[in-house]
Amino acid sequence: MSRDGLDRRVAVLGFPGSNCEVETQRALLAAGVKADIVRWNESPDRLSHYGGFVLPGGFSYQDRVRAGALAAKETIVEAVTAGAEEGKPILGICNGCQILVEAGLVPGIREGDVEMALAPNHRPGGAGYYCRWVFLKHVASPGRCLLTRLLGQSEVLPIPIAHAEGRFVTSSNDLVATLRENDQVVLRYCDAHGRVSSSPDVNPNGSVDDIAGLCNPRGNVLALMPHPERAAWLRQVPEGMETLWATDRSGAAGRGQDLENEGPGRRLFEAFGWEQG
Amino acid sequence: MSTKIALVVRLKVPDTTALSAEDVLRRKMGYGDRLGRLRREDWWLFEVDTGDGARARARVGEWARRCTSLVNPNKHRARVELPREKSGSGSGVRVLVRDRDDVRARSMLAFLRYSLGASDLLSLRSGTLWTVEPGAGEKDPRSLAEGIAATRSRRRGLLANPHAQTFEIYG
Repeated sequence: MSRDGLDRRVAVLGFPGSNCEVETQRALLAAGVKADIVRWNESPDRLSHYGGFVLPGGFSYQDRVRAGALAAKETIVEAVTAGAEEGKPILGICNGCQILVEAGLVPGIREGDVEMALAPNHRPGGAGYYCRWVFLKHVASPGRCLLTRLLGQSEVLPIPIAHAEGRFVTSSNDLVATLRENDQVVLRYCDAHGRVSSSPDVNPNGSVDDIAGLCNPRGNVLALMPHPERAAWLRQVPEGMETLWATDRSGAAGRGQDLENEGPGRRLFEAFGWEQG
Repeated sequence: MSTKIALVVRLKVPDTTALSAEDVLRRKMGYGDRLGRLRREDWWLFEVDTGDGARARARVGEWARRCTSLVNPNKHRARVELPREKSGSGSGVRVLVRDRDDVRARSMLAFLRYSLGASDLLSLRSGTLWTVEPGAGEKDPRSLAEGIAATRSRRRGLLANPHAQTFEIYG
């Protein structure tokens, strides 16, 4: 149902403590997708008319109790859940990813159950908050996930991370095998050459199966720890990285217009674009 | 021979985490009448290399005084006690939530050994000790606490995500 054309717009949800909603909205607009920032206490009924949702990064409720745990209980998340059931595209970035997992929307094998957690980062000799660029490999089959449908199979993307609790874990012995069987593991940490590895240099937080992004069984909800909105413009790519994106970035140095070109994360936002009827 | 001693640390300023959790349980999860009050404390379990209980308590007290990352006297009150000792403050069911991978305790252990020379500190564990005070008329406070603790879905449970954490009724 359309109300005021909202069905062709994306709602970027702002919870108390979210801090990436503006840059996420800008990334959507740069991708040609109309987007509004909708606060957590606005009407769930109005929210239900939007065509898609992004749960952005930040520290909802100051990460009290556990990252994403309190926001997952908010009434407005019911509208997100209903949207997921209707097949609307939904992207959770970083804290948004944590909220989707705490709400049981991802992985979503047993509907509504919380089947995973985003645990504190863990690597030998260190823990805490990590903020750096990593490489992701698109490992899902073409078209499996609505939000990565514009990525090539096995494509490697440089994207930044910024989190303290980003380690996908589960206490279930067979969940990871099920996720692989279902083709729900969409993006995995890899090196510059696309080699997936659990080495701390590659997998920055110790995530099980090197998972960076997971979708629900239907493929319309993606929970992603890295920040594609911080890689939506070429100017955001560090010049020193071992990637053609960095080569392009270096080549564009000093040419303001070229620096505004697409960055590696933009296609995740372009995937929200609706065909004009 | 070693002795285990618990250090329990409570905020003496309003605990916004406990207040937020209580608010969500009441307004979003249907615990309005069943829940009286929710409180939260940091919990540390020290294993000290001595069979002398009094000496072990004294050592833990000393580390607590010297390390403001454990106890900041400007905002915390702390008590040193035997594990699972019933405190005299308030009623309710206590739930201990611990991370399966206790990164926080490992970091603190390394700090105490390196910075305070705590070579007699054999091991350290950490957790969050929640006290669930039932509402008037609540018949089964233990079930109430267990239901609040174990996060099974968006509507069931809050304090511990069992995929990354454990919980137990404490004391």
